[in-house]
Amino acid sequence: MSDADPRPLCPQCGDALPADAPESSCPKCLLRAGFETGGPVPPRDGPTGDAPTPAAMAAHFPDLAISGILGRGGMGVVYRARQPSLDRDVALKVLSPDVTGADGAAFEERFQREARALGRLQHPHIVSVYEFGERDGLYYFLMEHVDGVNLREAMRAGQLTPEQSLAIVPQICDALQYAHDQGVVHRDIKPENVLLTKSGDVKIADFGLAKLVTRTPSDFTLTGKGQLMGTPHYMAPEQIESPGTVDHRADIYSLGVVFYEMLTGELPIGRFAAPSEKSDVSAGIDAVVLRSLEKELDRRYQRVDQMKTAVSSAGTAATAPQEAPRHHPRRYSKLAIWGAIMAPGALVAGLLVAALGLAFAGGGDNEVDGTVAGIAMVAGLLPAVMLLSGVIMSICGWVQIVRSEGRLHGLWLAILGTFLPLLCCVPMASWMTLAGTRVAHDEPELVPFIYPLEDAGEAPQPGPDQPRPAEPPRSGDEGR
Amino acid sequence: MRDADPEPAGGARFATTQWSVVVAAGADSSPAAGRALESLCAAYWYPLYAFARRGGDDVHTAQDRVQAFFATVLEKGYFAAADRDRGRFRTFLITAFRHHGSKERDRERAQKRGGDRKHLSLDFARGEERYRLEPAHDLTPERVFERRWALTLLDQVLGAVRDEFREAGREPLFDALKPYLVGGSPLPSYRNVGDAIGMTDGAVKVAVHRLRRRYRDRLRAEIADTVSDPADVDDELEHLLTSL
Repeated sequence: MSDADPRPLCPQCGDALPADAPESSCPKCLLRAGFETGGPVPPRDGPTGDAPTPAAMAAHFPDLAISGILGRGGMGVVYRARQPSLDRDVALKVLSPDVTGADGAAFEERFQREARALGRLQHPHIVSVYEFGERDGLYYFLMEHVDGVNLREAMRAGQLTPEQSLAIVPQICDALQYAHDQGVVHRDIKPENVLLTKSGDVKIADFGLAKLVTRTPSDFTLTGKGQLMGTPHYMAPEQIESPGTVDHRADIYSLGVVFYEMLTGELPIGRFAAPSEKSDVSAGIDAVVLRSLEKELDRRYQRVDQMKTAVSSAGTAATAPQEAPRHHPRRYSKLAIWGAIMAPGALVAGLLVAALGLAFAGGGDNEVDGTVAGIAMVAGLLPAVMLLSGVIMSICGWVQIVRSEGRLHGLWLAILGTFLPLLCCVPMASWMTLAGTRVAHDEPELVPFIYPLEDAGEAPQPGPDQPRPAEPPRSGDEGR
Repeated sequence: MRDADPEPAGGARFATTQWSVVVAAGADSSPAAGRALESLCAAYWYPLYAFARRGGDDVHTAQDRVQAFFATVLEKGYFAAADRDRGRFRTFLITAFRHHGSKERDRERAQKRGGDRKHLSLDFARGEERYRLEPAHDLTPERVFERRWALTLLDQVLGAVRDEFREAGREPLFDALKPYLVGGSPLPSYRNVGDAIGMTDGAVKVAVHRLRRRYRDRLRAEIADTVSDPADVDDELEHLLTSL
């Protein structure tokens, strides 16, 4: 990054050679020569490289003072240049002939269309395109020169703190939302395309350029010139599977990957850990990252500003308890499950109590002592309590599911849990009627004690909950 | 793929072992894995030294730390601390070193190095000399490590290729053809080179082609040695590129 020093330049890429260059050769170009599909020097013939030197490029752009190469990507080469007429630094991106040469006239048309859309994007967090066009068969963009590093370099250099990451993401969101509103999808959000100025501002580069290249899944490898065309790690699944149907939600996915990498230093591949396990962020941030990484489009954030809001609210709350459930997308409502279990549980419990009562009634002919009577009373209450709480839980579950906007399911369980008790009531009530009748018949003097009803001759229609507790002792006591 | 190559006289110059051997051995280090690790450490100690120096250590502290770190690594593999960084020797080294630095710094210095500890013979004097020549830029220690790593790797590879030429008695040819490794526009023509070293231009062309291929294979093999999965070579190459 040191300009204006008298060190020799690499004849291949135009960068200044570092003093400690191995064998006085450009280390970058030496490394590039390691790529299997053609290094910087194509092995075919002649010692010409694939990236024209700044000097060679100057012939095509006499109005610019081109001073060096800023970077090389899958799309082409970016030169550092100065526009003397306007006294400003610019970045000149010249698209590689690999990109432009493939389909001639069709490319020309696509280039004009896309470039015009990019030229319209004016946002503080988007690298501005000043000019674009074609000269001597070279397609180029003249862009704002950003003095800083890209996110990849920043991550590598000093490991971003979670706070810095949480400050960067909303700025990316702003830029993306603006572009999406203009109908432009970036399609290639990755750390290399996120630039950080020296004052810490974010600038997104290469908006929509990916659209200029028609790719097939097999293209996600080295291209002919030893440059990576694109790495699939940041691409939404639908971008790889059906590139034709990509919409703005692909950017949300890619941003999720970048976010995850900023926080953990790793890519979310395979079974990956939640960001909070590897970084000092709240579970709320986990929820945001995971939701943006949803494979299914409909489960992802639908707009970038939703993601931004979620990041800010999760970032401010030390722990975001209400965000946490989103961590598990669409799970069953626990209340509904328990409510549904309670109803049959109450039935079983009721039958057990009844069976015990009958056993006492059938077998014993001695007096029932107070303890047994007490136990029986409690046991008799149990099914009623279960039944009641089951109904309450089911109704609460029902409400919860309806309010969860589709994140919870189990509605059928809640309905079952609410109405099943009614069905349970029928056998229980009839059994109680039976038992009550018997007691009333055998021990008429107890009846007023139990049921505040005077009529002993026929079965009362008691409230379903109260009477049963009393029967087992009574039946046992009466000995039939 | 390495075995067919003549070994350079220096031996340590070109690691004949692979990080995957070390990784595969895990905690129960086999002698082979031990040797593999030792030669990797011997080849790549300088980036760590530069990292420590740039991080503010004085000459002696940096030497002690690097030496103590390698002693620990060679004795107990030091794997538990860096499990998930095992994929690449580079990341393992820097992560484990940082971890080691924070944890054992004081202890190591207090007890000094006992006589029974494993000791790598590292040319610290030369290391310091090199460090003094490091450009006085404002890179962070991590960047210095990454950059130095990439340069060390290239040194190893170019040194090995040069050694091969030297052993075949054709070192001048290597010097003459070297510019073609990188390429660029103002290159001497094959004819001029051929005239200078007494070869036809056709022969020069063939030799350039072979040199490029040889160099690329060596470079890829060297990188393969530092990653556990050979499929990661391109990825690592890309990473190294960004660190320069």
